[in-house]
Amino acid sequence: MITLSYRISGGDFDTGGLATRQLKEQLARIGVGAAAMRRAMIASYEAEMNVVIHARTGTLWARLDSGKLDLEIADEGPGIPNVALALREGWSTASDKARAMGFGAGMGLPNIRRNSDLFDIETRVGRGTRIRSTILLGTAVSAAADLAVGFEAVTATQERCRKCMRCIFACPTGAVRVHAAGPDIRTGLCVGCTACFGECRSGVYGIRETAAGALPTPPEEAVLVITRGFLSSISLGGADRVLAALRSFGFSEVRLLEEWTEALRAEARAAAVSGSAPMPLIPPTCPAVVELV
Amino acid sequence: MNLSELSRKINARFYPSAGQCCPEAREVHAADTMSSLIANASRDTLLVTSLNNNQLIRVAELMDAPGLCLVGGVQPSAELVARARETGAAIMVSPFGLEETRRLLVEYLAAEAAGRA
Repeated sequence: MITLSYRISGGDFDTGGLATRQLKEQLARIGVGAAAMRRAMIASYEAEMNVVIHARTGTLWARLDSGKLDLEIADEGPGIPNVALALREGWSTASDKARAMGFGAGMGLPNIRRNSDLFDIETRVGRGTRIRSTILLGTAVSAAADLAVGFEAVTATQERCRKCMRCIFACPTGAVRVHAAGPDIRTGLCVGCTACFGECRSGVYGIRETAAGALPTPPEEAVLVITRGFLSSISLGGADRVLAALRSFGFSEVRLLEEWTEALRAEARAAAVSGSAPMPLIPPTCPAVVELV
Repeated sequence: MNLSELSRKINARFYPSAGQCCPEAREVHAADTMSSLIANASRDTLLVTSLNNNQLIRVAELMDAPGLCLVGGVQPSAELVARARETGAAIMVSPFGLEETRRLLVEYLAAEAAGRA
């Protein structure tokens, strides 16, 4: 899990939205898809501006876990006396100054709720308010990770490494190798999630400046594998329409996990019989890594 | 349609962005509240508004909007123009009011879309 946090200054309209902008940069590096990014930006900006308009100070936390983004915005402010009223479109207690700038239309909380898959609000009058918004990322991030598209933005300064091996365990795609000289990043596996940054206490990892902000580019022949459960969870008038929509994202094929597993099993069986495999098969626990650890 | 060309058609002043030579828009959304602007913004949407403050650029930046169109011939602040240039959003200033500007822009974009089809 990746956790990011940003401070928000109440009453400061000049820096309002800055935390959300910084969050956007991080999410873009990680490879969050456009649809989820859009929802995250709306929810985060509205929540951040609520802090700027109503509170003394606040904090935005973003936690990126497998398949979802949790946003949590807590403030030290007046709290909300009537949450049901505050959630009603058009109801606002914003100041005249905020209204003159286009805020205070009573659409902030409704916008956050509309763009959240899960939404929760806790408030205590005189203490503050805490908003939680969860956005399901769908296939965007996991697809980027699965595609192994050659993200080259993460760099490693080998001489700083103390061989603690934390980065190996933190890396979700197994892109980090630690040799005697220090860590080496397999760019073909790295998805730029920056999990290694969070674990490393020696400052080994960094972002290549020219690549900062770059997103992975899918290879020409990318196959997306989905489960039947995912397919049936989208009711848009038939599986054909959902499959067509997924192909429109740039995948050359969209296959069901069950049939893909069967195809792989058949290939592996044939390779075992013939004694030659088209590519090396790596067991889940690589002996080379185990030996090194 | 190219925002520079769109500006000429509605007789608007045009402040280009630094990064993109010709930002383009396919849609228009007009509103005078930030919530409406951000909820309807996208990388194809020109945001038209009677507001005039630096938070507009933040919204455009977060939503990758190609540009902002201020209305009523207002003078955008130097800071707004500078921030827009930094973030890659163009600014237009229409001599018309909000509704008239929106109507004209929608007409030109529709005509261009029809021409493409």
